[in-house]
Amino acid sequence: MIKIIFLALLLQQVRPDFILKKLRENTKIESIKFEATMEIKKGKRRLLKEFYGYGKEDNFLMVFTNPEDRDVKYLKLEKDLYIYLPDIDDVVRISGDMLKQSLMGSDLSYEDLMEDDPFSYYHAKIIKDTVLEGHKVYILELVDTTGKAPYYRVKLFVDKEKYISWKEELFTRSGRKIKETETLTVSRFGERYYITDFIMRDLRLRDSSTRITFKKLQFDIEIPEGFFSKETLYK
Amino acid sequence: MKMALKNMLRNKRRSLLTILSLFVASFVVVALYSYVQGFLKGTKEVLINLETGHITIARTEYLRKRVFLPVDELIEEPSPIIHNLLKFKEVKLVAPRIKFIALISKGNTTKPAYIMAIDPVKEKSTLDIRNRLIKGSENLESGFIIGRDLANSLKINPGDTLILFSRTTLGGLNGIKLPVSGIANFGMSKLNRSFVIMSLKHARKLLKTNEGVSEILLFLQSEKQIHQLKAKLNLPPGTDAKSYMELLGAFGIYFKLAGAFYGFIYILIIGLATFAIINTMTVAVFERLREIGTLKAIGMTDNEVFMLFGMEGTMLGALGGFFGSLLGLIFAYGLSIKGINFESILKNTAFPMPYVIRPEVNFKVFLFAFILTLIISALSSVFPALYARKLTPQEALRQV
Repeated sequence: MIKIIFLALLLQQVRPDFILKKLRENTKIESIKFEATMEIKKGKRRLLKEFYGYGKEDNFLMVFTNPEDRDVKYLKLEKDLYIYLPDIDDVVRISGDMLKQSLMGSDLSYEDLMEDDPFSYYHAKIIKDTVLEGHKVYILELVDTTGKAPYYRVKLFVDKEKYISWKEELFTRSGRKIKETETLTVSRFGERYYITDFIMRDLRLRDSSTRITFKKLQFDIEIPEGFFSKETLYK
Repeated sequence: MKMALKNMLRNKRRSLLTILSLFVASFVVVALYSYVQGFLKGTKEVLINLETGHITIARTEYLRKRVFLPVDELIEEPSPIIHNLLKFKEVKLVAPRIKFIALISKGNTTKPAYIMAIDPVKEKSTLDIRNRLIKGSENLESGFIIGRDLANSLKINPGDTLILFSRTTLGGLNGIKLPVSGIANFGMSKLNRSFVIMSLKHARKLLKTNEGVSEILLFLQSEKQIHQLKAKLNLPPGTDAKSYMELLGAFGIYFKLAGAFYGFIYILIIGLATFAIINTMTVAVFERLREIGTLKAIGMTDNEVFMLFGMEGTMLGALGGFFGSLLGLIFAYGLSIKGINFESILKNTAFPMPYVIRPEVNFKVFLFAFILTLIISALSSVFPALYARKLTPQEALRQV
């Protein structure tokens, strides 16, 4: 009997880490090429932005193609973010607290783009198993143990089979829910499941949401050495 | 009156103490009133000049979301509105402005900034940039004016080039690169840490709008005309006008409450002084019962006794009140020349209060405090004087 209880406790200890590991496997990429749209809704106002980009390990480059932002480029180089502004043909660097600013007026902050391994800051525990809109999920609660995470507490609704999160709720230390994301589409790429359509809502803003839809995704592509550099922004 | 004066001089120490208490009370009332009015008026003036005007006209949606300074709620064609507003004789100045939040960058450092775009020619008097400049020039045609603390944190000097970037009215991202013309001390921590002034011309280029403005500020001949003018304004649909008190919200209520609160303090101070007179005059009546009895016995009427004590109290009040109020006024004047600088206390706060408070020197306050002390001292002498009046010679002499 004691052995069974011990085993059950052990499983309870192992399971959240296992789930996080599987989640990481799905989100971790060697290299990627993408085309996407970002639809920002603010009350009755609606903005549609189009962009494409490349990512490799900790770095990425995003280039906007919609008329209002044509050739605005975002380059992430490790912990720093650089923005190229075509009208003045110059680059600004965003770092530190400035990363909490909104990305182009959307519900995403620059910081939301920056995390390479967002789960690494947290200690996880399973709250319960449930069914979320027809998907069997674990509800995982992650609490920041490092003091470095952008959100103190995260509640994840992780698919039991695909190991992607259908829903994320992001909380401050005081317990206030400030953001939530809702996954709309998950696509399969070989052995990997990847979220290709999701909505993020910043609950501090009234009647606001941002939907990101990946139109094209290619994994493990060849990206030349030195591609992710400030010089690329001026090209 | 002569007799009352003689009586005052008979017990010099007691009279002096009473005069002193009234002197202190009237001094405190005048000095405190001048300081409080200086603070309220100074803060209000800064907020009106920099933030709201007497009346702000903007799109209704902009006013609802004003705290976020949205750039997508501009008045796109302000010229006809401005043209109409200039017809009102109450209007001294019409100042179109664009306010927005942007990021400002130099080298590897980027900071958030509160941008105010103005017409540099029209707004010479409202922003008073010339007198606020610490370094550089007030030229907005070719550059920015930037708050002192923001300039320090970005290590900027006049002539350095800055990049300012923001969302445009179309929802895109755009930047503008301009040199810093000048660095200014805006006299308020919130502004020194984040304030950037630029010309409407440059802001419109950055935000990609032809004529757009976020606010049209009205500066009136007199503050009293606000409600009267607001009722007369005939604005296009979707635009609205708000007085500065409506826009300041909780801070506007604070102005009203502060007036009432300090009014209560003045009453308390005067109340304390009143007790001093009542005390002095009551003691004087009891000390001089023999004298009252004798005076009445030799033919002094009740009214004359009443007048004698009433006059004595009033004269004490008049002396203390006059010199106290006068010194309060001189004190306020002295402090108003350079002002009282609270920068060391306020520099790390977001409280919208100017660093330098200049007490308001107002002769009416001097008169008010003097007359008030006079009335209070006359009234507070009534009670002991009435007691003295009622005494019969026999009663007075029996109580000795």
